[in-house]
Parts: sequence; C-alpha cells; structure tokens
Amino acid sequence: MTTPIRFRRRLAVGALAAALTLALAGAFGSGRAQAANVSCIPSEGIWTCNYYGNSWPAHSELWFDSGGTNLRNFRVNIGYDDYLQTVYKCMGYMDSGGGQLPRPCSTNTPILSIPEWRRPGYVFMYHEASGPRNIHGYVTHG
Amino acid sequence: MHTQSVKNRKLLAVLFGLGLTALAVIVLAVDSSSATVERGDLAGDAQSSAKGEIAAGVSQFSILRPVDSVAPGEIPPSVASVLAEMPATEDGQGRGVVEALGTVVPTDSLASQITVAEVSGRLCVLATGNEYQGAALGSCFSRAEAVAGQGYVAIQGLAKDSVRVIGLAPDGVAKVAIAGGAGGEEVAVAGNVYEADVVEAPTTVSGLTAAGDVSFRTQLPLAGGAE
Repeated sequence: MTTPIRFRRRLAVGALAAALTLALAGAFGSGRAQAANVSCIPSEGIWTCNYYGNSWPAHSELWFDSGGTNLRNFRVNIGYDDYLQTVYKCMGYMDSGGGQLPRPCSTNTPILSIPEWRRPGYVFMYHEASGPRNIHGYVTHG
Repeated sequence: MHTQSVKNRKLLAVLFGLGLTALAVIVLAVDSSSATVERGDLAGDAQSSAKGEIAAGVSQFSILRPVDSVAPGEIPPSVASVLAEMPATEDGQGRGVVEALGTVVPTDSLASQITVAEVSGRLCVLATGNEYQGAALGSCFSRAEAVAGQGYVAIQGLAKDSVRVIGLAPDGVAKVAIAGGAGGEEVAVAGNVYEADVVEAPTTVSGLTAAGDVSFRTQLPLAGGAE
C-alpha cells in the first residue's frame, strides 16, 4: 500500500518541479527575447563577456549570456568600454522571475553585486550614444 | 757640511712627504664629506617626496583610512563581496588590492550607506541601503577623475524619471551645486561624498568650498533608460 503512495508523491513532486522550471524558463525567455545576446567565456574563475560591434544603438539592451546556460548565477559585473570611458552606460539585472534591481550607471565602470536571493538571472547593459562600441563585462558566479 | 746638507735634504723630503700625505687625507676627507652630503640629500629628497605623495593622497580624500584600521563590521557584506573580487586593472586583469577604505552611514540627508575604497590605485564608490534590494551599486574611476568631480555612480530604477547621483568630492569641498532638469539645488558634502535625487537629464555638478570658490565643475549625462 505504501509504495503507490510514495510513487504518487514522487510523481507530484516531479511534476511540480517541472512546472516550476518551465515557468522560470518562460519568464526568463520572455525577458531576454527583446535583445541580442553576447557570449561569455570563462577564464580563471571570471566570466569575460565581450561585445565588439560596429553598431550598438543607444538605449538598446545588450544581454550577457553565459554560453547558453540559462540559470547561471551572476554576482558581480564590471563593465567598461574602449572609448576612454567616455560613454555613459548602465548595467541592469533581471532575475528569473522578471524582477529587476536598481541600475548603476557611469561614464566609468559601473558595478553591481547581486544578492543571493535574486539569483539566477541575467546581466544587461545599455548606453547613451549610438555608434561602434566595444564593451567588456567581467562576471563572477557562484 | 756635506753631512748637514744631506740631513737637511732628508728632512725636507720627509716634510714634503708628510705634506703630501696630509693633503691627500684632506682631499679624501672633503670628497667623502661631500659624497655623504649628496647621499643624504638624495635620501632626504626621496623621503620628503614619498611623504609628500602620501600626504597629498590622503589629503585629497581624508575619508580614506588604511584597511587594517577599518573594522570588518563597518563594511556591508555585499560591498565586501565586490571588493574581494575586484580586478587590479580596468580591463579585468589580476586581483585588485584594497589599499584604503572609508564609510558614510545614512543620515537625514543621505539615504545610502556609502563605502569609498581605493583599489590598486583607483577609487571606487559603492552604495547599499534599504532601497537597493540587497544589492551594492557603484563605480570605479581614477583619482584624477574623482578630484575633477567625475567620480560618481548614477542609480536608475529607484523612481520614475529620477536618478540618484552619489559622487565623490575632494577635501575642501563643502557642498555641491546641482543644476539640471529640475532647476538648481545645493547639497552638503559629508565625508567626501554627496547624494542627490535629480531629474533624469544632463546635469551640471559644481563642487564649492565653504567660501564659495568652485573646486570643480562637471557635467553628468544622466540620460535615457533602456527602450
């Protein structure tokens, strides 16, 4: 008698987990669909996320994607550009539920630490002026 | 007579030799003395130069204290997490060394707890507080930029069409005059930092001494959100 009950419980727990995962993926996907991704490469414990482009429109979000692993935990992101830090830029973060943190902006190196309870999520950047830009983000995860 | 003449010559030779020896000793002594003075001057210059640089650095932002004089509890955990992983250079190379720290706690006119850190020669300002959902937000810049009023972080997303500016001001700056989309206002500087909520529009920030002299004037873009 106990075996079918356990089986049903496990089945229910499994279904719940699958539903939750799908819900998270759906929320994530809808959030990220609005912008292009930038690949990130792990290097000595730091994910280096680079964007080299001839054009990056102003106010357009650029998302950092850690190699297709959606549920990557980001913690710190440091972004800078190759234009002698003259471009005003902001960094944002969207968690798996679609919630966002306040966004640090600067002509220099914006920094954002992401609290544990907000992970996993994605980091994105946008800037003030259209034009060719090289932006590099340094992300640690854990 | 011949014997006496020989004795006189010997005496002259001895005296001449003694004279040469004395001259050599005097020359060597003077040379040694001057060399010692030169080394002393160089050492003195080097010491005064080093002291001068340190003094200048500290005097520019006196909020900064040596790391070992800051109690661990003074630094919020989210800020400590950032500082522990700060790279040494702007392009992310190496591990940064936190050389000095300072904090300003929230007051009636300051909503954020602000940490100022010197990391491998660069200055960083990091803000935490109830409105930031547990995150730490900040920016890093050169000391020269900070002296020129360009050391700041602008925080968007706290309120619609509003930006919170948290910036550094060097010693001697008592307040900043802010002129932007909502007109002008003056904000006090405490512990080398200021905080102001301004309209999201290009904004001019002027650092003013207690006597009203302008220490710096800079324009912050503070424009635009993501579409």
